Amino acid sequence: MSVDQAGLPDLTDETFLSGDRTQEYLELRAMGAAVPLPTADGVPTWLVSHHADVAALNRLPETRLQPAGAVAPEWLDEGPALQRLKANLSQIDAPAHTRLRKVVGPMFIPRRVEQFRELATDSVRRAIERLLARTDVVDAVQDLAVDVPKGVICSFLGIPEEDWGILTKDQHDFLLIFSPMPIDGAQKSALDQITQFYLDYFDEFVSSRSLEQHSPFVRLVLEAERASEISHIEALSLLHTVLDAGYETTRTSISNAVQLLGQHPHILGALREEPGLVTNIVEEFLRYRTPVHVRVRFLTDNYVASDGTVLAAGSKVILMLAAANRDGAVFSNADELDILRENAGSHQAFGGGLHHCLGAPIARIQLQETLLGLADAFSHIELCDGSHRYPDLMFPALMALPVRFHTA
Amino acid sequence: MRTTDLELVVTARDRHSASVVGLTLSSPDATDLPPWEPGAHIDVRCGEVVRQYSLCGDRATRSSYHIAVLREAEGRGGSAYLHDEVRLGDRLTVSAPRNNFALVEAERYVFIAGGIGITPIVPMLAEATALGKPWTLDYGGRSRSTMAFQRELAELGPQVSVLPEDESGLLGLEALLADPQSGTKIYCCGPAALLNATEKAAAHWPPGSLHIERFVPKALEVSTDREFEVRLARAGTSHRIPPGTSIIDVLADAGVGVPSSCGVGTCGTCESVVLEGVPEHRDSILNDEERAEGTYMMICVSRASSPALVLDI
Ligand code: HEM
Ligand code: HEM
Ligand code: FES
Repeated sequence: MSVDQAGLPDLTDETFLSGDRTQEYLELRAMGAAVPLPTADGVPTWLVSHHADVAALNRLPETRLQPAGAVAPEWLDEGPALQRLKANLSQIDAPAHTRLRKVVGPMFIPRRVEQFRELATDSVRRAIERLLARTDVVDAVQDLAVDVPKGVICSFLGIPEEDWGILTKDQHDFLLIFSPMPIDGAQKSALDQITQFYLDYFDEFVSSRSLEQHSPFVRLVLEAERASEISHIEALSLLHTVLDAGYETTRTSISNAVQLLGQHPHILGALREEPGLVTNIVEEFLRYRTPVHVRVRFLTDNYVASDGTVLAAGSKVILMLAAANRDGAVFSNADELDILRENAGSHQAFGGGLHHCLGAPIARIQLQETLLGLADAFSHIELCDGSHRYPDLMFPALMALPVRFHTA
Repeated sequence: MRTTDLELVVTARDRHSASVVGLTLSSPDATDLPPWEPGAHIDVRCGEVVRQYSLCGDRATRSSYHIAVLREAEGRGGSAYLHDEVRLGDRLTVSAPRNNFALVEAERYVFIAGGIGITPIVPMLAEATALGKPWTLDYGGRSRSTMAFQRELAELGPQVSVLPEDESGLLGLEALLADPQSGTKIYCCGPAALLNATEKAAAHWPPGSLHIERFVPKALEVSTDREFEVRLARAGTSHRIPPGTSIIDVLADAGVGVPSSCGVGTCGTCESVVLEGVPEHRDSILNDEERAEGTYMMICVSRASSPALVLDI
């Protein structure tokens, strides 16, 4: 098998980006365990799409989010965005990452988040009540998928739902903080401005009431600040992260789930008959329609890929989570949806290792409760014309999903 | 034993060198065995342990596999078993061939082998020749008497350099790899020191040029873990957890699936309830009281400080 640039699927093509990607990912996996990419800055860069390597690299504790020696991208100069990035779990390395993750990590493990299941059930119930009142075509993104995480995040943090509009209006500008390449002056000031807005919002919010009146999560973070384990800006950043990392990801995974339920009509019935299937169905949905397609790491040691290819220390590895989740070496008939699949939970949709998704247990609960709520309320979901995905390599979110929910 | 495992008969034993014995493993009824590509290996059950050996025979011979086994001085049991206990006519359980070291298409190949690392390289030489691709082999070892396949390699001509350390010193990797060439792939197999030296000497080659195979996973070489036992209260089974392998991996191999996600003790997905025994916590999520109490443990990383643990699984 030859690994040549010419054979690489065009990863910037719009039809690919907003499409289903099954064929392109199949071709990518067939090109080998690690495909070298041309690089402008001299950092060897690899596309990694086999499950064995994606899982191994996700889990290697020595890999970094920033290149060795760096704590933030060079192009991000002093300002609120730089301060915020240095406290952003998904962008930082030890020792800061270890210190911050230790504050919030224990709160988010499955045993502890189980107590928040009620928040999800409640949020789903309210959304479904609104849907039941409607017989026209609804947008499953705006009229359901947004509402579930909105209710959960607001109660988890203790912020009023009336603030949701201003909190999410310009959220997109904040994503510039994740840019893999330098951003221009105008983008930088937009990023600084939205970052300052969030820091100010949460600053005002934490001082709006006494410690005892805050939600258990906010109390945990503020107590860590009082104990000098974290700084004030780190505390505000950890609160913002729950909103930032927890909203669009969950919204998108719920939209994906509704689309899959529409495409595979037997699943709603199967769930009604056997609600216990819900755990596995959620894992299989995350495997089959992975919300976040790409994660990046930098190697600090040589890494030998599953086919013997040596990836040198210092290399940048682009981990194709969604392609790995369709790897036939791990999942039989990988391109088929199989709600009884025994190893569905081996997917890489939440990454892995030290940076494994903090919110995975609470995201799972929201997805499970949404599926159970839908199976309870509706007999089938009819997909209507007009759905489309945002053409982003890393995060192809459904932007609209017109459907009709039928009760009988 | 997996359903795809094979029961093969030892039909020949040859000495390849003072310390290397070659075993020919044939299908009992002379039927065709699963095909393989150069670089492939099989798992061989050697009494209590399983070891991996590269296939190094002729791929056209479909009814048998050939492996070459080095007697390791303080070997991990497997090589001594195959040298001393296995006789002609004995049956061995082996896995179907798997390939973690496939020969990628290239214009030219540089092969580097150290000691018993020659085994996966031998069929690669035949393949490169069959494809009409130019290649060279630098083959190092302690001394001629320890180096296998010298006769077969001598027949291949001047592109083979057999370089025993007691005659020519260590392989001159810097000189061999001085000029990076695009289109050329380097394949290296041998002891860790040779692999590390090759990785260093090839650092300035284009990404993707170097392919290596390690026989012993890195983690095993440095591990200081002790072996312990895990009993599952609900499943009623008992499992030995060897050094370097996690509880969750041993259970998964035995068909007991426990959900896991991060694999390093940060997410809590694999959390299990401890009924008896003392866990040695290696996660980063339990607090000090929970650690002291020992009711919960993350079985993707944590081990035992008592000889056995009983888990509520
Ligand atoms: C289905 C919904 C979600 C998906 C698919 C998802 C996916 C991911 C992925 C792929 C990562 C990167 C992991 C890695 O690099 O190994 C991540 C990290 C993260 N996620 Fe999620 N996520 C979801 C929901 C949430 C929620 C609800 C929260 C709320 C707390 C959250 C908070 C985080 C945080 C804080 C990180 C960074 C962790 C770190 O680097 O230490 N996520 N997520
Ligand atoms: C975690 C990472 C990311 C997520 C979750 C994400 C998500 C999204 C979503 C949901 C949209 C459409 C919604 C909207 O316009 O408000 C969008 C649009 C866009 N994204 Fe991303 N994205 C990410 C990273 C990036 C990065 C790194 C860049 C490049 C620097 C980028 C560039 C854009 C652009 C240019 C648009 C269109 C903006 C517009 O139409 O106003 N995104 N992204
Ligand atoms: S799998 Fe995450 S703690 Fe074990």
